[in-house]
Amino acid sequence: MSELGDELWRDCAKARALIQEHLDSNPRESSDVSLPTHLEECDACHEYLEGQLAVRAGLRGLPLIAFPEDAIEEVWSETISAGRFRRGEGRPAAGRRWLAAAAVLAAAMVGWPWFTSDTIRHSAERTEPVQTVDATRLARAATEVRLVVDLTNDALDRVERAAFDEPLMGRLAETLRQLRVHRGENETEESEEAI
Amino acid sequence: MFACDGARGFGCNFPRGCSFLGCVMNGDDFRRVVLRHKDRVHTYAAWVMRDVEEARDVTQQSLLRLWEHRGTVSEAAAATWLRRTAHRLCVDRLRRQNVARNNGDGPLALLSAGGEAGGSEATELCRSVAAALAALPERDRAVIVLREMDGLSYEQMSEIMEMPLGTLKAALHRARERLRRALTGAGVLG
Ligand SMILES: [Zn+2]
Repeated sequence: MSELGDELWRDCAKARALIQEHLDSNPRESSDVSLPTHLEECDACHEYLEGQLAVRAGLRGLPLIAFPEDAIEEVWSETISAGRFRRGEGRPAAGRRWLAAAAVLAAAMVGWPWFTSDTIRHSAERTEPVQTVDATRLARAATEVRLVVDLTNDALDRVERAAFDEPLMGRLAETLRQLRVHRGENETEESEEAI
Repeated sequence: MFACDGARGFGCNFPRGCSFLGCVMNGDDFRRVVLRHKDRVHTYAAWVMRDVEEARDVTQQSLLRLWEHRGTVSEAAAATWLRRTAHRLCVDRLRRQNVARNNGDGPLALLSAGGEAGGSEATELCRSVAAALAALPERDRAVIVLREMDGLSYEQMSEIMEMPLGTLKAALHRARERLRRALTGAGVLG
């Protein structure tokens, strides 16, 4: 192949790579080959582009193959219509589910007054002087609190998996969510107080 | 570590797809996800397996697995998750069969029959493209369907097919080129 032919071939390879990128609407910022100029001069690449566009049109004209209605009915019957757990699979024993639900309720009953207590929410309004704490101890305490919160969330997560809406008709979710929101509020207030 | 996609707007800092209650898919979320993606997942599986019965099983299993994992997959992540699961199931089944099947119940047959799944809009070009697509190797079929028929981004495809972005782009380029050559060889393209 002549030197000129060699160069043209290299340009064609680059042009075709650019064509692929244009097909994906993702053209490279810069290239030493100008695609419009190359396409004007090179019939082979022009044909290549037209071929790729035709292939794309053909592919996009292919219809979706609908998932059969009876198959989707089977999916519903094994999932949302069957309750939260598939029969016999990954389903905690009834005793464990009730135990978990009871544990969460107990935690909510003990935790709720604490989370919402005036001592926590309005400690800034207290009349007695607040003891000053050095920054290192405060940071360490904050880390420990975060660790405890993370562990608690993990535990809540496990309980949620075991108990969720079967025993409590979904009300558990809302209770736990409220607990979480309050944790967020308290954290904000506490950090404001620290400042 | 990824940040949670905060599908429910909590914007929490938990790992992606965390199972804290705010991001757990409930029955309504699941139904919505299934209705949105079932046909596309089924179409993908049908083209990769070249067998609509297998595609039905793969799609059904993927949806059931999503239900089982709804505690760790958020609604926003479900589209990619479903396709990746379907892709893995297809690959497993094809490996087990150890031979690429192309029986009479493939998507091509549906298209030729012009039945319910084929529809009447399948033009001559579509039929030729479908025949050429069905004759491609499994990986070529997968990348082409995800990109051209499902319209997914490189990033989504890379996650679904579990291959690096560069490898994915090269695979897509090669697949398109094989398809174009097949159609040129068949006299469909000039
Ligand atoms: Zn050229």
